[in-house]
Amino acid sequence: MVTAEPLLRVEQLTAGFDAGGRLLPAVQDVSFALSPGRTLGIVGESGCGKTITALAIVRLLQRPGRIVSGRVLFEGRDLLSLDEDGMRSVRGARIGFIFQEPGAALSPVYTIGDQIAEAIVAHGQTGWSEARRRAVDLLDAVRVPDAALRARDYPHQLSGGLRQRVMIAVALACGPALVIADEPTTALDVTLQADILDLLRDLRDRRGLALLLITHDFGVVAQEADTVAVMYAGRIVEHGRTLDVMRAPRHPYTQGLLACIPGREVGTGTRLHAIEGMVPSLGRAPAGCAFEPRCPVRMDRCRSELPPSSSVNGPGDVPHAVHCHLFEACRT
Amino acid sequence: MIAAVRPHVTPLVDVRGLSKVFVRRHGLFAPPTTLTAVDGVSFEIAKGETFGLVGESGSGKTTTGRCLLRLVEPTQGEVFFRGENVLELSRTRLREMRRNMQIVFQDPYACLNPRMRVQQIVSEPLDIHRVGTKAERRDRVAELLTLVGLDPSLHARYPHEFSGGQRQRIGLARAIALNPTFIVADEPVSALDVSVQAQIVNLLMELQARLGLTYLFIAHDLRLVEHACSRVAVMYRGRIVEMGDTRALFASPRHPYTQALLSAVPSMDPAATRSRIVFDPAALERDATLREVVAGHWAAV
Repeated sequence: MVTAEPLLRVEQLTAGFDAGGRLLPAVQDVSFALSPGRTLGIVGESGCGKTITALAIVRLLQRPGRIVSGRVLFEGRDLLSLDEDGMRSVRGARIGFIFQEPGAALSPVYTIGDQIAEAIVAHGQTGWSEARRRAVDLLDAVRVPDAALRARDYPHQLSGGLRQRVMIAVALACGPALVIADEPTTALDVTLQADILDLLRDLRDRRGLALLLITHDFGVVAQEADTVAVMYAGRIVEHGRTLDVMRAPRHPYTQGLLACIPGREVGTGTRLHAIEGMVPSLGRAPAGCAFEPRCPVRMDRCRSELPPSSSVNGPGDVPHAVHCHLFEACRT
Repeated sequence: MIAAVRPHVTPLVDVRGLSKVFVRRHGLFAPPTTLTAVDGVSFEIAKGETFGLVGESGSGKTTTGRCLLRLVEPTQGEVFFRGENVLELSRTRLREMRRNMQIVFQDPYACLNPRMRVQQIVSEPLDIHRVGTKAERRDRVAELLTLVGLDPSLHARYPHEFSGGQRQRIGLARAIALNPTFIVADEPVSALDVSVQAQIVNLLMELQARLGLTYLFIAHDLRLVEHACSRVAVMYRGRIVEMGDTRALFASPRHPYTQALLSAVPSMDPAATRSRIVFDPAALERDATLREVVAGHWAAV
């Protein structure tokens, strides 16, 4: 089921790290919406703020990190205004989280069945025996073979692909409406990646989940996401339907990033397009557009003025927005 | 076993029936178990070519690369480098030989000694092989840093002061210090951001053209392999299941594992319909040997 009303609406979220008496902004003015049954891809390179955005949504940002401002509207409530008890009833229950490194996110001293059951018991949904039974069903749902037997295994007895399935089972344990998957396949081989992405898509469709998929891989975005937000140095620089953004990228960073990926033009041994320079480190971004030092089409004003959001294909259901001075004429 | 894939070209590197069995002991009384990481692998690399080795983790591609340089001692097989069997070399001869064969590692954060300055890191192979005078070595380091696109005035810095891409450049400068002819590049860009990956791949190709290098390019990124390699071998559970010209192999893979692997790579076109081929390991013919299906294209089918 796809409904028009977004399940999650993030508005001008800003978060950063306190360091030496000043705030280093890691995420600035990030806004997006996500509806049930849909997948939003957040794509960008390391250090661009993808993970901080995800952690801020569920308020798992640890000191010295903190949320500075913004709103996270989920099922009609602003998560940033909830008290810790209220937040606990959402986190892990209504919002499931899949981490990049399943080995690090699972406890080595409990069986995987108990770790899934614990999520159910912790949220007061059932007692232990019922929870353990449900854990087996969940392992079955994420296509772990011999689920009843496997439930008694410890994480180290499982392969990387199976561990990631267990993580997905934990995320689904309490029947969430939203699943945030932070680089769920980065540590996996391409065939396992395809298995996990197939599984996530299938679960999303069958359960009507909203999926927030964080990745650095535009191929994963192309295949899985309905809409995409491209982040650079803590800000969304381009945002729209995946089809629009990938077929006609407007921001010089998005264009550059897509051009870096080999294989579009077949011809072995030719030079790859590269974006010279590197991502600015935290707190070192220029006052204007953060991409200015690496941008092949920079103008004078880019250095000093932050580019506003411009809509490049008119107002639609999902506008294609780009934050670049080149498109100011189309300003919304 | 195939004797020679391309008998008409004298290969720079000629690997025949290479195997590596790791023996794992489980304590005093338990019997040791063995793991065959590389199982009778044969291939040839022509001078100046980039030969790709792909496969999932645990398929034996890294172990194969290390066996060629004897960083891991192979259990069986032969590795001819310019006609000389590397596996039979004495210690002294091996050391001389290693000037010609170098390796670039995957993790630019782990492979550089954090307590050494860039000058020392890049100069170390020159020091070990006693190349030139101290002043000459210093000049050579400056030259090498320039060659890999780093500012030579940064020679007194430590690795942690550099980004991942810059560290990989330092690793490359060190690898080419002794003018090698052959470099094993083991996942050289996997740990880097997409935009930086392209810089390093371009640098590898530039250096190849300039210095006449030959690469064994080990990678799991199939798009990158398709771009960078002239020929490619696909490994599965320690064996090469398919090998051939990159373009032909990617265009019409013959082995079911290769077909599954290539179909799992996400398309860059958001409107593309997915047609995944799932590989069933149970259906694998374990004893199938490589045979030439088309000229220059081999598959174990």
